[in-house]
Amino acid sequence: MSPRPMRWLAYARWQLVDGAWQRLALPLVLAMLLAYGAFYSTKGMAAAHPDFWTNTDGRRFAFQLLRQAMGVFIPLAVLMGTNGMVAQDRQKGYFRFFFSKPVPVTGFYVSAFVAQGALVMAGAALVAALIGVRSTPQPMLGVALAAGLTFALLGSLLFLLSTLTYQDGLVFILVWMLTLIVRQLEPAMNAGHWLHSAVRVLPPTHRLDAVREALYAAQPVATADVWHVLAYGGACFVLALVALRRMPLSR
Amino acid sequence: MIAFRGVGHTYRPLLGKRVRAVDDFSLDIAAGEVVGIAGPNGAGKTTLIATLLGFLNPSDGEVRIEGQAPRAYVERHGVSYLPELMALPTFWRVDNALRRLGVLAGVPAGELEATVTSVIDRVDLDEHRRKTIKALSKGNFQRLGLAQALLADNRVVVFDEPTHGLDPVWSNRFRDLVGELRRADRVIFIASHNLDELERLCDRVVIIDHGRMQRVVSIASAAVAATAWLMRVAIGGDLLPAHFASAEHLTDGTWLVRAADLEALNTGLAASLATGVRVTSVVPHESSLEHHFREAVRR
Repeated sequence: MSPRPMRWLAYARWQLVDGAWQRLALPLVLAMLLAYGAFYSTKGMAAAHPDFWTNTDGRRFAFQLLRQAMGVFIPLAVLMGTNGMVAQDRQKGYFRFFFSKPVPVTGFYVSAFVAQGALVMAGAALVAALIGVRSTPQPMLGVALAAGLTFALLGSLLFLLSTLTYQDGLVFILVWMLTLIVRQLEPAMNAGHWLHSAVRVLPPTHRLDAVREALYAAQPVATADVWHVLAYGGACFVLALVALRRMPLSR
Repeated sequence: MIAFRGVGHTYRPLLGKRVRAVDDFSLDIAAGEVVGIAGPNGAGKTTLIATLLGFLNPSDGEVRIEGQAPRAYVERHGVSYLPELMALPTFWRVDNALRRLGVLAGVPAGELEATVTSVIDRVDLDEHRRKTIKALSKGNFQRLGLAQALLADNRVVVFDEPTHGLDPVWSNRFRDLVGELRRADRVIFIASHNLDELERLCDRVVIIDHGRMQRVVSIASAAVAATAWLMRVAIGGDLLPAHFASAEHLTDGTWLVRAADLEALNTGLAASLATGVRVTSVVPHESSLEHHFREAVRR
Protein backbone atom coordinates (compact mmCIF):
# COMPACT_ATOMS: atom_id res chain seq x y z
CA MET A 1 0.00 0.00 0.00
CA SER A 2 1.57 3.25 -1.06
CA PRO A 3 1.83 5.83 1.69
CA ARG A 4 -0.91 8.44 1.39
CA PRO A 5 -0.59 11.19 3.97
CA MET A 6 -3.76 12.27 5.82
CA ARG A 7 -5.63 9.05 4.97
CA TRP A 8 -6.78 9.03 8.58
CA LEU A 9 -8.91 12.07 7.77
CA ALA A 10 -11.14 9.75 5.77
CA TYR A 11 -11.90 8.00 9.05
CA ALA A 12 -13.34 11.23 10.51
CA ARG A 13 -16.68 10.29 8.91
CA TRP A 14 -16.86 7.26 11.21
CA GLN A 15 -15.68 9.30 14.19
CA LEU A 16 -18.54 11.75 13.57
CA VAL A 17 -21.06 8.91 13.43
CA ASP A 18 -19.70 7.33 16.64
CA GLY A 19 -19.54 10.70 18.37
CA ALA A 20 -23.12 11.56 17.45
CA TRP A 21 -24.65 8.25 18.55
CA GLN A 22 -22.52 7.27 21.50
CA ARG A 23 -21.47 10.57 22.98
CA LEU A 24 -23.85 13.32 21.88
CA ALA A 25 -27.28 11.67 21.71
CA LEU A 26 -27.90 11.40 25.46
CA PRO A 27 -27.05 15.04 26.39
CA LEU A 28 -29.08 16.20 23.40
CA VAL A 29 -32.11 14.17 24.45
CA LEU A 30 -31.82 15.41 28.06
CA ALA A 31 -31.61 19.06 26.97
CA MET A 32 -34.58 18.57 24.66
CA LEU A 33 -36.62 16.94 27.44
CA LEU A 34 -35.80 19.81 29.76
CA ALA A 35 -36.87 22.35 27.13
CA TYR A 36 -40.01 20.36 26.35
CA GLY A 37 -40.93 20.25 30.03
CA ALA A 38 -40.48 24.01 30.33
CA PHE A 39 -42.57 24.71 27.24
CA TYR A 40 -45.25 22.33 28.48
CA SER A 41 -45.45 24.23 31.78
CA THR A 42 -45.99 27.53 29.93
CA LYS A 43 -48.53 26.13 27.50
CA GLY A 44 -51.50 27.66 29.28
CA MET A 45 -49.86 31.05 29.73
CA ALA A 46 -48.73 31.23 26.13
CA ALA A 47 -52.24 30.32 24.96
CA ALA A 48 -53.85 32.98 27.20
CA HIS A 49 -51.33 35.65 26.13
CA PRO A 50 -50.45 35.34 22.44
CA ASP A 51 -47.74 38.00 22.85
CA PHE A 52 -46.14 36.09 25.77
CA TRP A 53 -42.89 35.29 23.92
CA THR A 54 -42.44 38.84 22.70
CA ASN A 55 -42.95 40.59 26.02
CA THR A 56 -40.27 41.02 28.68
CA ASP A 57 -41.38 38.12 30.85
CA GLY A 58 -41.49 35.74 27.93
CA ARG A 59 -38.04 36.82 26.72
CA ARG A 60 -36.63 36.47 30.22
CA PHE A 61 -38.20 33.03 30.53
CA ALA A 62 -36.75 31.92 27.19
CA PHE A 63 -33.32 33.22 28.20
CA GLN A 64 -33.46 31.35 31.50
CA LEU A 65 -34.57 28.24 29.67
CA LEU A 66 -31.65 28.55 27.27
CA ARG A 67 -29.23 28.90 30.21
CA GLN A 68 -30.72 25.88 31.95
CA ALA A 69 -30.71 23.77 28.80
CA MET A 70 -27.11 24.73 28.09
CA GLY A 71 -26.26 24.14 31.75
CA VAL A 72 -27.29 20.53 31.22
CA PHE A 73 -26.20 20.03 27.64
CA ILE A 74 -22.76 21.60 27.45
CA PRO A 75 -21.03 20.07 30.50
CA LEU A 76 -22.59 16.68 29.82
CA ALA A 77 -21.77 16.77 26.10
CA VAL A 78 -18.17 17.79 26.85
CA LEU A 79 -17.75 15.18 29.57
CA MET A 80 -19.30 12.37 27.57
CA GLY A 81 -17.65 13.61 24.39
CA THR A 82 -14.09 13.31 25.59
CA ASN A 83 -14.22 10.90 28.52
CA GLY A 84 -12.22 7.82 27.59
CA MET A 85 -11.43 9.11 24.12
CA VAL A 86 -7.91 7.67 24.29
CA ALA A 87 -8.11 5.59 27.47
CA GLN A 88 -10.94 3.40 26.21
CA ASP A 89 -9.06 2.39 23.05
CA ARG A 90 -6.07 1.50 25.18
CA GLN A 91 -7.92 -0.24 27.95
CA LYS A 92 -10.15 -2.28 25.67
CA GLY A 93 -7.35 -3.02 23.20
CA TYR A 94 -8.92 -1.44 20.11
CA PHE A 95 -5.62 0.35 19.51
CA ARG A 96 -4.11 -2.92 18.29
CA PHE A 97 -6.37 -2.78 15.26
CA PHE A 98 -6.26 0.96 14.66
CA PHE A 99 -2.55 1.51 15.02
CA SER A 100 -1.22 -1.50 13.18
CA LYS A 101 -2.62 0.36 10.19
CA PRO A 102 -0.60 3.16 8.59
CA VAL A 103 -2.18 5.81 10.79
CA PRO A 104 -0.45 8.42 12.97
CA VAL A 105 -1.70 8.12 16.53
CA THR A 106 -1.80 11.88 17.02
CA GLY A 107 -3.61 12.49 13.74
CA PHE A 108 -6.22 9.88 14.61
CA TYR A 109 -7.04 11.49 17.94
CA VAL A 110 -6.83 15.09 16.69
CA SER A 111 -9.44 14.13 14.14
CA ALA A 112 -11.60 12.45 16.82
CA PHE A 113 -11.28 15.50 19.09
CA VAL A 114 -12.12 18.02 16.38
CA ALA A 115 -15.07 15.93 15.17
CA GLN A 116 -16.44 15.74 18.72
CA GLY A 117 -15.94 19.47 19.26
CA ALA A 118 -17.85 20.22 16.07
CA LEU A 119 -20.66 17.91 17.21
CA VAL A 120 -20.91 19.61 20.61
CA MET A 121 -21.08 23.04 18.96
CA ALA A 122 -23.67 21.86 16.44
CA GLY A 123 -25.70 20.21 19.22
CA ALA A 124 -25.72 23.41 21.29
CA ALA A 125 -26.78 25.46 18.26
CA LEU A 126 -29.54 22.94 17.54
CA VAL A 127 -30.93 23.15 21.08
CA ALA A 128 -30.80 26.96 20.91
CA ALA A 129 -32.51 26.91 17.53
CA LEU A 130 -35.31 24.67 18.77
CA ILE A 131 -35.85 26.86 21.83
CA GLY A 132 -35.83 29.87 19.50
CA VAL A 133 -38.38 28.38 17.13
CA ARG A 134 -40.77 27.64 20.01
CA SER A 135 -40.25 30.93 21.88
CA THR A 136 -38.12 33.85 20.82
CA PRO A 137 -34.97 33.74 18.62
CA GLN A 138 -31.83 32.75 20.54
CA PRO A 139 -28.20 33.62 19.77
CA MET A 140 -27.31 30.33 18.06
CA LEU A 141 -23.83 31.45 17.10
CA GLY A 142 -23.09 32.69 20.62
CA VAL A 143 -24.35 29.46 22.13
CA ALA A 144 -22.27 27.41 19.68
CA LEU A 145 -19.21 29.51 20.54
CA ALA A 146 -19.86 29.04 24.26
CA ALA A 147 -20.04 25.28 23.72
CA GLY A 148 -16.88 25.42 21.62
CA LEU A 149 -14.96 27.35 24.29
CA THR A 150 -16.13 24.94 26.98
CA PHE A 151 -15.01 22.05 24.82
CA ALA A 152 -11.69 23.80 24.16
CA LEU A 153 -11.06 24.20 27.89
CA LEU A 154 -12.61 21.22 29.65
CA GLY A 155 -12.57 18.88 26.66
CA SER A 156 -8.83 19.46 26.21
CA LEU A 157 -8.21 18.85 29.90
CA LEU A 158 -10.17 15.61 29.77
CA PHE A 159 -8.40 14.66 26.53
CA LEU A 160 -5.07 15.16 28.28
CA LEU A 161 -6.18 13.08 31.27
CA SER A 162 -7.40 10.39 28.89
CA THR A 163 -3.90 10.06 27.43
CA LEU A 164 -2.40 9.77 30.91
CA THR A 165 -4.77 7.52 32.83
CA TYR A 166 -7.56 5.02 32.35
CA GLN A 167 -9.45 6.81 35.17
CA ASP A 168 -9.73 10.05 33.23
CA GLY A 169 -13.38 10.73 34.05
CA LEU A 170 -12.83 10.29 37.76
CA VAL A 171 -9.67 12.44 37.81
CA PHE A 172 -11.47 15.11 35.78
CA ILE A 173 -14.34 15.27 38.27
CA LEU A 174 -11.83 15.54 41.12
CA VAL A 175 -9.99 18.38 39.35
CA TRP A 176 -13.28 20.11 38.63
CA MET A 177 -14.43 19.83 42.25
CA LEU A 178 -11.04 20.99 43.48
CA THR A 179 -11.28 23.98 41.16
CA LEU A 180 -14.72 24.92 42.48
CA ILE A 181 -13.58 24.60 46.11
CA VAL A 182 -10.33 26.50 45.62
CA ARG A 183 -12.08 29.31 43.76
CA GLN A 184 -14.53 29.61 46.65
CA LEU A 185 -11.70 29.78 49.17
CA GLU A 186 -9.36 32.01 47.18
CA PRO A 187 -10.95 35.44 47.96
CA ALA A 188 -10.66 34.73 51.70
CA MET A 189 -6.95 33.95 51.52
CA ASN A 190 -4.23 36.46 52.32
CA ALA A 191 -1.99 37.68 49.55
CA GLY A 192 0.95 35.33 49.17
CA HIS A 193 -1.02 32.29 50.30
CA TRP A 194 -0.07 29.17 48.35
CA LEU A 195 -3.65 28.84 47.13
CA HIS A 196 -3.14 31.92 44.95
CA SER A 197 -0.34 30.09 43.16
CA ALA A 198 -2.19 26.79 43.06
CA VAL A 199 -5.21 28.39 41.48
CA ARG A 200 -3.17 29.38 38.43
CA VAL A 201 -2.67 25.77 37.37
CA LEU A 202 -6.36 24.94 37.73
CA PRO A 203 -8.68 25.43 34.75
CA PRO A 204 -9.97 29.02 34.53
CA THR A 205 -13.62 28.02 34.80
CA HIS A 206 -14.56 31.41 36.31
CA ARG A 207 -13.38 33.15 33.15
CA LEU A 208 -15.20 30.61 31.02
CA ASP A 209 -18.40 31.25 32.99
CA ALA A 210 -18.10 34.99 32.39
CA VAL A 211 -17.54 34.53 28.66
CA ARG A 212 -20.39 32.04 28.41
CA GLU A 213 -22.87 34.34 30.14
CA ALA A 214 -21.93 37.16 27.79
CA LEU A 215 -22.35 34.93 24.75
CA TYR A 216 -25.77 33.66 25.86
CA ALA A 217 -26.90 37.24 26.35
CA ALA A 218 -25.36 38.28 23.00
CA GLN A 219 -23.18 40.77 24.90
CA PRO A 220 -19.55 41.66 24.08
CA VAL A 221 -17.06 39.27 25.67
CA ALA A 222 -13.82 40.11 27.50
CA THR A 223 -11.12 39.19 24.98
CA ALA A 224 -8.58 38.55 27.75
CA ASP A 225 -10.88 35.92 29.24
CA VAL A 226 -11.31 34.22 25.88
CA TRP A 227 -7.54 34.12 25.34
CA HIS A 228 -6.98 32.77 28.84
CA VAL A 229 -9.47 29.97 28.24
CA LEU A 230 -8.01 29.17 24.82
CA ALA A 231 -4.43 29.27 26.12
CA TYR A 232 -5.21 26.85 28.95
CA GLY A 233 -7.13 24.51 26.66
CA GLY A 234 -4.44 24.79 23.98
CA ALA A 235 -1.72 23.93 26.48
CA CYS A 236 -3.65 20.84 27.63
CA PHE A 237 -4.21 19.82 24.02
CA VAL A 238 -0.54 20.19 23.08
CA LEU A 239 0.53 18.27 26.19
CA ALA A 240 -1.93 15.52 25.24
CA LEU A 241 -0.39 15.29 21.78
CA VAL A 242 3.11 15.14 23.26
CA ALA A 243 1.97 12.39 25.63
CA LEU A 244 0.37 10.49 22.75
CA ARG A 245 3.58 10.76 20.79
CA ARG A 246 5.91 9.74 23.58
CA MET A 247 3.96 7.31 25.73
CA PRO A 248 3.62 3.68 24.67
CA LEU A 249 0.21 2.63 23.41
CA SER A 250 0.33 -0.60 25.34
CA ARG A 251 0.88 -0.77 29.08
CA MET B 1 14.34 -6.76 7.15
CA ILE B 2 13.50 -7.00 10.86
CA ALA B 3 16.17 -6.74 13.53
CA PHE B 4 15.84 -7.19 17.27
CA ARG B 5 19.05 -6.04 18.97
CA GLY B 6 19.42 -6.86 22.66
CA VAL B 7 15.75 -6.08 23.23
CA GLY B 8 14.59 -6.10 26.82
CA HIS B 9 11.41 -4.89 28.42
CA THR B 10 10.45 -4.43 32.04
CA TYR B 11 6.91 -3.65 33.09
CA ARG B 12 6.93 -1.15 35.92
CA PRO B 13 3.52 -0.91 37.54
CA LEU B 14 2.92 1.99 39.92
CA LEU B 15 2.08 -0.52 42.61
CA GLY B 16 3.48 -4.01 42.68
CA LYS B 17 6.52 -5.85 41.45
CA ARG B 18 8.48 -5.06 38.33
CA VAL B 19 8.28 -7.79 35.73
CA ARG B 20 11.07 -8.47 33.27
CA ALA B 21 9.01 -9.71 30.33
CA VAL B 22 11.73 -9.82 27.66
CA ASP B 23 15.45 -9.98 28.23
CA ASP B 24 18.34 -9.50 25.80
CA PHE B 25 16.50 -10.78 22.74
CA SER B 26 18.38 -10.56 19.45
CA LEU B 27 17.22 -11.88 16.11
CA ASP B 28 17.50 -10.96 12.43
CA ILE B 29 14.69 -11.90 10.09
CA ALA B 30 15.24 -11.73 6.36
CA ALA B 31 12.60 -10.92 3.76
CA GLY B 32 10.88 -14.07 2.56
CA GLU B 33 11.09 -15.86 5.91
CA VAL B 34 8.25 -17.27 7.96
CA VAL B 35 9.41 -17.17 11.55
CA GLY B 36 7.56 -18.68 14.46
CA ILE B 37 7.84 -17.86 18.10
CA ALA B 38 6.96 -20.45 20.69
CA GLY B 39 7.01 -20.38 24.43
CA PRO B 40 4.91 -21.19 27.46
CA ASN B 41 2.33 -18.74 28.81
CA GLY B 42 3.98 -15.56 30.03
CA ALA B 43 7.19 -16.29 28.12
CA GLY B 44 7.17 -12.83 26.55
CA LYS B 45 5.80 -13.55 23.08
CA THR B 46 3.11 -10.87 23.09
CA THR B 47 5.46 -8.29 24.64
CA LEU B 48 7.95 -9.01 21.87
CA ILE B 49 5.24 -8.45 19.27
CA ALA B 50 4.20 -5.22 21.00
CA THR B 51 7.77 -3.94 20.60
CA LEU B 52 7.79 -5.03 16.96
CA LEU B 53 4.64 -3.00 16.28
CA GLY B 54 5.83 -0.02 18.29
CA PHE B 55 3.06 -0.40 20.88
CA LEU B 56 5.77 -0.64 23.54
CA ASN B 57 9.15 0.99 23.61
CA PRO B 58 11.71 -1.56 24.74
CA SER B 59 13.47 -0.73 28.01
CA ASP B 60 16.74 -1.90 26.47
CA GLY B 61 18.00 -2.47 22.97
CA GLU B 62 16.18 -1.61 19.80
CA VAL B 63 13.88 -3.00 17.15
CA ARG B 64 14.21 -1.97 13.51
CA ILE B 65 12.02 -2.70 10.52
CA GLU B 66 13.84 -1.89 7.29
CA GLY B 67 16.09 0.33 9.36
CA GLN B 68 13.24 2.35 10.84
CA ALA B 69 11.86 2.51 14.35
CA PRO B 70 8.75 0.32 14.49
CA ARG B 71 6.24 3.11 15.11
CA ALA B 72 7.63 5.15 12.21
CA TYR B 73 7.52 2.10 9.94
CA VAL B 74 3.97 1.14 10.93
CA GLU B 75 2.66 4.69 10.57
CA ARG B 76 4.14 4.87 7.09
CA HIS B 77 3.53 1.37 5.71
CA GLY B 78 1.24 -0.52 8.08
CA VAL B 79 1.55 -4.10 9.28
CA SER B 80 -0.96 -6.91 8.76
CA TYR B 81 -1.59 -7.85 12.35
CA LEU B 82 -3.92 -10.34 13.98
CA PRO B 83 -3.68 -9.80 17.75
CA GLU B 84 -4.11 -12.52 20.31
CA LEU B 85 -6.43 -10.29 22.33
CA MET B 86 -9.20 -9.66 19.84
CA ALA B 87 -11.22 -6.61 20.83
CA LEU B 88 -13.39 -4.40 18.66
CA PRO B 89 -16.53 -2.47 19.62
CA THR B 90 -19.20 -5.14 19.84
CA PHE B 91 -21.91 -3.04 18.20
CA TRP B 92 -19.94 -2.70 14.97
CA ARG B 93 -21.30 -4.71 12.09
CA VAL B 94 -18.86 -7.10 10.43
CA ASP B 95 -18.89 -5.35 7.04
CA ASN B 96 -18.70 -1.89 8.63
CA ALA B 97 -15.80 -2.99 10.84
CA LEU B 98 -13.94 -4.02 7.70
CA ARG B 99 -14.88 -0.78 5.93
CA ARG B 100 -13.60 1.26 8.87
CA LEU B 101 -10.38 -0.71 9.18
CA GLY B 102 -10.03 -0.69 5.39
CA VAL B 103 -10.11 3.12 5.42
CA LEU B 104 -7.40 3.12 8.09
CA ALA B 105 -5.42 0.52 6.16
CA GLY B 106 -5.32 2.98 3.27
CA VAL B 107 -7.58 1.13 0.85
CA PRO B 108 -8.59 3.74 -1.75
CA ALA B 109 -12.25 4.79 -1.53
CA GLY B 110 -13.00 3.41 -4.99
CA GLU B 111 -11.67 -0.02 -4.07
CA LEU B 112 -13.04 -0.26 -0.55
CA GLU B 113 -16.25 -2.20 -1.26
CA ALA B 114 -14.50 -4.68 -3.55
CA THR B 115 -11.69 -5.19 -1.02
CA VAL B 116 -14.12 -5.73 1.86
CA THR B 117 -16.14 -8.23 -0.18
CA SER B 118 -12.95 -9.98 -1.24
CA VAL B 119 -11.64 -10.48 2.32
CA ILE B 120 -15.09 -11.52 3.54
CA ASP B 121 -15.18 -14.18 0.83
CA ARG B 122 -11.62 -15.20 1.61
CA VAL B 123 -12.47 -16.04 5.21
CA ASP B 124 -15.96 -17.25 4.34
CA LEU B 125 -17.85 -14.72 6.48
CA ASP B 126 -20.43 -13.73 3.88
CA GLU B 127 -23.42 -15.12 5.79
CA HIS B 128 -22.30 -13.12 8.86
CA ARG B 129 -21.40 -9.85 7.15
CA ARG B 130 -24.43 -7.95 8.46
CA LYS B 131 -24.18 -9.31 12.00
CA THR B 132 -22.80 -7.27 14.83
CA ILE B 133 -19.52 -8.42 16.33
CA LYS B 134 -21.41 -9.25 19.52
CA ALA B 135 -23.36 -11.90 17.61
CA LEU B 136 -20.26 -13.66 16.26
CA SER B 137 -18.95 -16.91 17.68
CA LYS B 138 -15.33 -17.02 18.88
CA GLY B 139 -14.24 -18.73 15.68
CA ASN B 140 -16.04 -16.26 13.42
CA PHE B 141 -14.61 -13.34 15.37
CA GLN B 142 -11.16 -14.82 14.87
CA ARG B 143 -11.88 -15.04 11.15
CA LEU B 144 -12.91 -11.39 11.18
CA GLY B 145 -9.54 -10.64 12.76
CA LEU B 146 -7.89 -12.58 9.99
CA ALA B 147 -9.96 -10.73 7.37
CA GLN B 148 -8.91 -7.30 8.65
CA ALA B 149 -5.27 -8.38 8.54
CA LEU B 150 -5.73 -9.17 4.85
CA LEU B 151 -7.17 -5.78 3.90
CA ALA B 152 -3.83 -4.38 2.80
CA ASP B 153 -0.90 -5.91 0.98
CA ASN B 154 1.73 -5.30 3.65
CA ARG B 155 5.31 -6.55 3.72
CA VAL B 156 5.22 -7.41 7.39
CA VAL B 157 2.58 -9.85 8.61
CA VAL B 158 2.22 -10.67 12.31
CA PHE B 159 -0.13 -13.33 13.62
CA ASP B 160 -0.44 -13.80 17.38
CA GLU B 161 -2.13 -17.12 18.21
CA PRO B 162 -3.84 -17.12 14.82
CA THR B 163 -5.75 -20.41 15.12
CA HIS B 164 -7.03 -19.78 18.63
CA GLY B 165 -10.75 -20.56 18.49
CA LEU B 166 -10.69 -21.83 14.91
CA ASP B 167 -12.14 -25.25 14.12
CA PRO B 168 -9.92 -27.90 12.45
CA VAL B 169 -11.21 -26.99 8.98
CA TRP B 170 -10.24 -23.36 9.47
CA SER B 171 -6.95 -24.24 11.11
CA ASN B 172 -6.11 -26.08 7.89
CA ARG B 173 -7.30 -23.19 5.75
CA PHE B 174 -5.14 -20.88 7.80
CA ARG B 175 -2.13 -22.96 6.77
CA ASP B 176 -3.12 -22.55 3.13
CA LEU B 177 -3.51 -18.84 3.70
CA VAL B 178 0.01 -18.53 5.09
CA GLY B 179 1.22 -20.43 2.01
CA GLU B 180 -0.55 -17.88 -0.19
CA LEU B 181 0.90 -14.97 1.78
CA ARG B 182 4.47 -16.29 1.64
CA ARG B 183 6.43 -14.00 -0.68
CA ALA B 184 10.08 -13.20 -1.31
CA ASP B 185 9.75 -9.61 -0.06
CA ARG B 186 7.56 -10.36 2.94
CA VAL B 187 8.19 -11.44 6.51
CA ILE B 188 5.57 -13.49 8.30
CA PHE B 189 5.89 -13.67 12.07
CA ILE B 190 3.70 -16.17 13.91
CA ALA B 191 3.43 -16.57 17.68
CA SER B 192 1.66 -19.73 18.72
CA HIS B 193 1.38 -22.40 21.37
CA ASN B 194 0.64 -24.89 18.63
CA LEU B 195 4.02 -26.44 17.86
CA ASP B 196 2.63 -28.66 15.13
CA GLU B 197 1.27 -25.58 13.38
CA LEU B 198 4.58 -23.74 13.68
CA GLU B 199 6.48 -26.77 12.41
CA ARG B 200 4.28 -26.96 9.33
CA LEU B 201 4.33 -23.24 8.56
CA CYS B 202 7.68 -21.80 9.57
CA ASP B 203 11.24 -21.79 8.29
CA ARG B 204 12.58 -21.11 11.78
CA VAL B 205 11.03 -21.19 15.19
CA VAL B 206 12.36 -19.17 18.09
CA ILE B 207 11.74 -20.72 21.48
CA ILE B 208 11.59 -18.27 24.35
CA ASP B 209 11.05 -18.74 28.04
CA HIS B 210 11.11 -16.23 30.89
CA GLY B 211 11.62 -13.54 28.28
CA ARG B 212 14.91 -15.01 27.02
CA MET B 213 15.59 -16.65 23.73
CA GLN B 214 16.36 -20.32 24.48
CA ARG B 215 17.08 -21.53 20.97
CA VAL B 216 16.30 -21.01 17.31
CA VAL B 217 15.19 -24.16 15.53
CA SER B 218 15.62 -24.41 11.79
CA ILE B 219 12.68 -26.58 10.79
CA ALA B 220 14.25 -28.03 7.63
CA SER B 221 17.33 -29.34 9.42
CA ALA B 222 15.42 -30.37 12.52
CA ALA B 223 13.01 -32.60 10.60
CA VAL B 224 15.46 -35.52 10.37
CA ALA B 225 16.69 -35.21 13.94
CA ALA B 226 14.11 -37.44 15.64
CA THR B 227 15.53 -40.41 17.57
CA ALA B 228 12.40 -41.96 19.03
CA TRP B 229 9.60 -43.39 16.90
CA LEU B 230 6.15 -44.79 17.45
CA MET B 231 5.67 -47.93 15.41
CA ARG B 232 2.25 -49.55 14.96
CA VAL B 233 2.64 -53.21 14.24
CA ALA B 234 -0.05 -55.56 12.85
CA ILE B 235 1.91 -58.82 13.05
CA GLY B 236 5.11 -59.89 14.83
CA GLY B 237 5.55 -57.15 17.40
CA ASP B 238 7.35 -59.55 19.70
CA LEU B 239 10.15 -59.75 17.15
CA LEU B 240 10.94 -56.03 17.30
CA PRO B 241 13.30 -56.12 20.34
CA ALA B 242 15.61 -58.32 18.33
CA HIS B 243 16.20 -55.47 15.90
CA PHE B 244 15.68 -52.43 18.13
CA ALA B 245 17.45 -53.03 21.42
CA SER B 246 15.39 -50.55 23.42
CA ALA B 247 11.99 -51.33 21.83
CA GLU B 248 9.27 -50.80 24.37
CA HIS B 249 5.72 -52.08 24.10
CA LEU B 250 3.34 -49.24 24.92
CA THR B 251 -0.19 -50.34 24.13
CA ASP B 252 -1.78 -52.98 22.00
CA GLY B 253 0.24 -53.06 18.77
CA THR B 254 2.12 -49.81 19.45
CA TRP B 255 5.85 -49.85 20.14
CA LEU B 256 8.33 -47.16 21.02
CA VAL B 257 11.62 -47.74 19.24
CA ARG B 258 14.82 -45.72 19.38
CA ALA B 259 17.30 -45.27 16.57
CA ALA B 260 20.34 -43.01 16.49
CA ASP B 261 19.45 -41.69 13.04
CA LEU B 262 17.37 -42.36 9.96
CA GLU B 263 19.88 -44.90 8.70
CA ALA B 264 19.67 -46.95 11.89
CA LEU B 265 15.87 -46.74 11.84
CA ASN B 266 15.62 -48.01 8.29
CA THR B 267 18.16 -50.79 8.85
CA GLY B 268 16.25 -52.04 11.88
CA LEU B 269 12.96 -51.69 10.02
CA ALA B 270 14.23 -53.67 7.03
CA ALA B 271 15.52 -56.44 9.30
CA SER B 272 12.19 -56.57 11.13
CA LEU B 273 10.19 -56.77 7.90
CA ALA B 274 12.47 -59.54 6.68
CA THR B 275 11.64 -61.64 9.74
CA GLY B 276 7.88 -61.27 9.18
CA VAL B 277 7.02 -58.17 11.15
CA ARG B 278 4.22 -56.22 9.46
CA VAL B 279 4.17 -52.48 10.19
CA THR B 280 1.16 -50.19 9.61
CA SER B 281 2.81 -46.85 10.49
CA VAL B 282 5.98 -45.21 11.79
CA VAL B 283 5.85 -41.65 13.13
CA PRO B 284 8.24 -39.61 15.27
CA HIS B 285 7.44 -40.08 18.96
CA GLU B 286 7.46 -36.33 19.29
CA SER B 287 7.97 -33.74 16.60
CA SER B 288 11.48 -32.39 16.34
CA LEU B 289 10.18 -28.98 17.37
CA GLU B 290 8.38 -30.47 20.32
CA HIS B 291 11.63 -32.21 21.30
CA HIS B 292 13.53 -28.91 21.14
CA PHE B 293 10.76 -27.16 23.02
CA ARG B 294 10.81 -29.71 25.84
CA GLU B 295 14.55 -29.42 26.13
CA ALA B 296 14.52 -25.63 26.02
CA VAL B 297 11.64 -25.13 28.42
CA ARG B 298 12.36 -27.39 31.34
CA ARG B 299 9.95 -26.68 34.18
